Amino acid sequence: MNLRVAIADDSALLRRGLAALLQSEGLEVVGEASDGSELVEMIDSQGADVAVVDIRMPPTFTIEGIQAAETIRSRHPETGVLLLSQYVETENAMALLGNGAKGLGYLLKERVSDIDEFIDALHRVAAGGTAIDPQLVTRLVSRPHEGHQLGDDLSSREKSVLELMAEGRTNQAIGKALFLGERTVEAHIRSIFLKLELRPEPEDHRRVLAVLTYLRGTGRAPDRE
Amino acid sequence: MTPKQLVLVLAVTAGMVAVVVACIDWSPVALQDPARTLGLNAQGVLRWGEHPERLPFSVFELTLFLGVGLSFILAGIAAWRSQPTRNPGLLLVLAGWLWLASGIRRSSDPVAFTIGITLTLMYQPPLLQLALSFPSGVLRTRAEKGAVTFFFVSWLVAAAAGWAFFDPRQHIAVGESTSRNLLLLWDSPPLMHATGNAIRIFQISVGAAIVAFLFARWLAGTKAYRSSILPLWLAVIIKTAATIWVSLAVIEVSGRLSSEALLWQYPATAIVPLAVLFGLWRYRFARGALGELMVEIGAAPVSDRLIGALRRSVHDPTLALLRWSGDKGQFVDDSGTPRNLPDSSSGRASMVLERHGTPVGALVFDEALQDQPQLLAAVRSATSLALENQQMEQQLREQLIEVRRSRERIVTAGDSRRRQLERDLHDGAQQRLVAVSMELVRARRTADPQESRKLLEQASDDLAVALDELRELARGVYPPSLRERGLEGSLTALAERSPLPLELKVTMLHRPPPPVELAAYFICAEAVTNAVKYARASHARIGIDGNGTELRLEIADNGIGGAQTGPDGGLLGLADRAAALGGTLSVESPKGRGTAVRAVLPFQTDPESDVP
Repeated sequence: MNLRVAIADDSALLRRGLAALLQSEGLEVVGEASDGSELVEMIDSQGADVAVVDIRMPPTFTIEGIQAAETIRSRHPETGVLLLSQYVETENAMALLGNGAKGLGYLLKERVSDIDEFIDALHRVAAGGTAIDPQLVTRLVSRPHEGHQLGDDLSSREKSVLELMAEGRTNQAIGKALFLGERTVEAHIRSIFLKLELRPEPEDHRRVLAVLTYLRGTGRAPDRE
Repeated sequence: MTPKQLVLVLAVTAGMVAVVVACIDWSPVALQDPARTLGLNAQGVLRWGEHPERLPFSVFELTLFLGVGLSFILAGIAAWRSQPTRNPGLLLVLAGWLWLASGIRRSSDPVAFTIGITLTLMYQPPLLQLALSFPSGVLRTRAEKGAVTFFFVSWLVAAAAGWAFFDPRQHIAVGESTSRNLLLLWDSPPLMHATGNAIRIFQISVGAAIVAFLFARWLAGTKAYRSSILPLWLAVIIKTAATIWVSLAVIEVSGRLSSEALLWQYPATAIVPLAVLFGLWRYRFARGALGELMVEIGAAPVSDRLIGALRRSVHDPTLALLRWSGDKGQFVDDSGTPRNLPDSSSGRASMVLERHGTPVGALVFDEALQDQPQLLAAVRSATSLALENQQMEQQLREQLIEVRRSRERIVTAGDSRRRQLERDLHDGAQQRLVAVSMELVRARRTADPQESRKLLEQASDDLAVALDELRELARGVYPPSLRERGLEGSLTALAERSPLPLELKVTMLHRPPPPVELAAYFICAEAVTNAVKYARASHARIGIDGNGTELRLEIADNGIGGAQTGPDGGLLGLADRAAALGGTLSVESPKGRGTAVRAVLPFQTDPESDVP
């Protein structure tokens, strides 16, 4: 399947580079936009499987990307949005995923250099999955804390699984990354959810949100979405 | 009054009392001798000699006599100890001594007798001097000093003249006199009466003149003066009444009554020092409000209470305090209405209060107050202090506000600088490096070697640009050559990079301290940036002149001028930077005639300097 990608970034250099890269990888670039509204117009008129959006764009250069993502999500739920940024911030991630993690991604810009991973993330988001930057997940998992948290009981293997899970990987992808069988991964995930006192979530994107909310919070299970 | 002075006064007094007591001839003839009657002049002695029932001198009278002298001396000591000036007390003590010394006329020794009769009224000139100089005891004009000298001399001359033609031994009608008058030229009762009457007229005239003088002063005087001199008036009236009564008694009244009448002169005289003391005390009491004023001043700001205290202290309810308005260039009252100082014909006087030669305020008061320079001086210094206090407080507050503002500006400028830096990094080098990484990915993935080579070249170009940008940014954070090559080196580098022809002239004897170098560099860089960005200049010139203590900079361009140190302009930030070093920065930018930024940066920053 040829993924149809829309690109939005105020830097022409980056836009062109990304477009060239994606095209050379065999993806179809629907068009390039230099800000959020241009992007929304473009998707309104041409549609796209996934939009790669710079989080910081004109006019205020703050979180225009997140706003554009929300607009696209409400108007074109079938279009995934992958936000790129020079920094990944927990607050931005939570703002982005606030209304569900379906078809959303949030990655550091430099992730494009690992092109296979990047394209995998694009496919995942386009398919309604989630892609959260590993840096953000690592930061949340290894955040120093006072006292005992439920997460402290996780084994190192479980922690690795948790990190990949929080990134939005499927069980299959987790297994592949850790050289584990899918059944083993499922067992680990069950154990993690048990230890964290979280309700098991069948869908990957729901699972991501639950885990992220858990990680971001004080170790309590999130309310049901 | 020092303890030594006190002991001296008391010792002299004791000595005089002892001499007087020792001199008294207690023989019945001497006790009956009218010539030795204390306080009488020649005429009085003649009259008194005619009285058949006059009482002999007694211990009681001696006690009264000594009591009067001691009352003068004790009142003098009290005044001396409590007054800021010793003069009133000294005059009272002198009067007391002269009074006591006249007691030796009860001696049978001709010399002692003669001295005694001469000194009989000599206690009066010191009192006249005191009256003239009341309450300070200080003679102010030459006329006053001349008058006082005249009193002493004329009283002495009068005493001598009064006795020059009277030999008491030959003219006592009842009883006898054994007193030998050494002042006698020749005995002539008519001549004696003539001189006696002349002296009396003279002394009464002098007395009347002084009364008139004091009355005039009383009319013009302040409440404090009036209240202090009032007891003196009463004393003078009583004393005068007693004198008249004694004269009448000697001349007219007969029998025992006249003897008693003669004794009344003692309490009447003793009232005088007490009245002086009371008057001085009242004056001090009135001035005492000044102490209150000082307390008031401790509690700045200048309030109604201060004005109240000022008014009370000088007993002038019309006293007003005007303030100097630098803006209006004239004095203003509390409501800010301009006021002119009164002229001499208005009955009001004024006193301008100055600080470092510039007026800070003015006191307007009753003209009469000018008679009291001491009080006015006290009021002046007190009020000046209060105004100075207030002004200093005001200045301090203004400085504090400016420091707070500048601190806020420095922080804000730092923040916006950081924000700008982040933006520059984000949009520049970071972006470019991401692009490079994408090019590298593409180069790695492409099958076409030519394509790959092209992409690698592109990536390497982009890397070079990113490095350039990073270098520029780093230079903006801190000029690297400043540490290595000093200010001149950095400015040379600045001139080389500048898109504007930049003429550099640096004269420095010593290398300035690092903060000064950095500030100087940033001031130059900002001024040049402004010249490039806004001034449309085609040429700029940097002049640096440094001696051992400070650095002077001037950055001038030939642009359009009209630059302003606006609230968010870089120039204001530079002014703050200069101020933080204790220096100054000024911008001269007339429209159409270029911009000149000048700064002076001292090497030594003393945060405590320039603090009032």
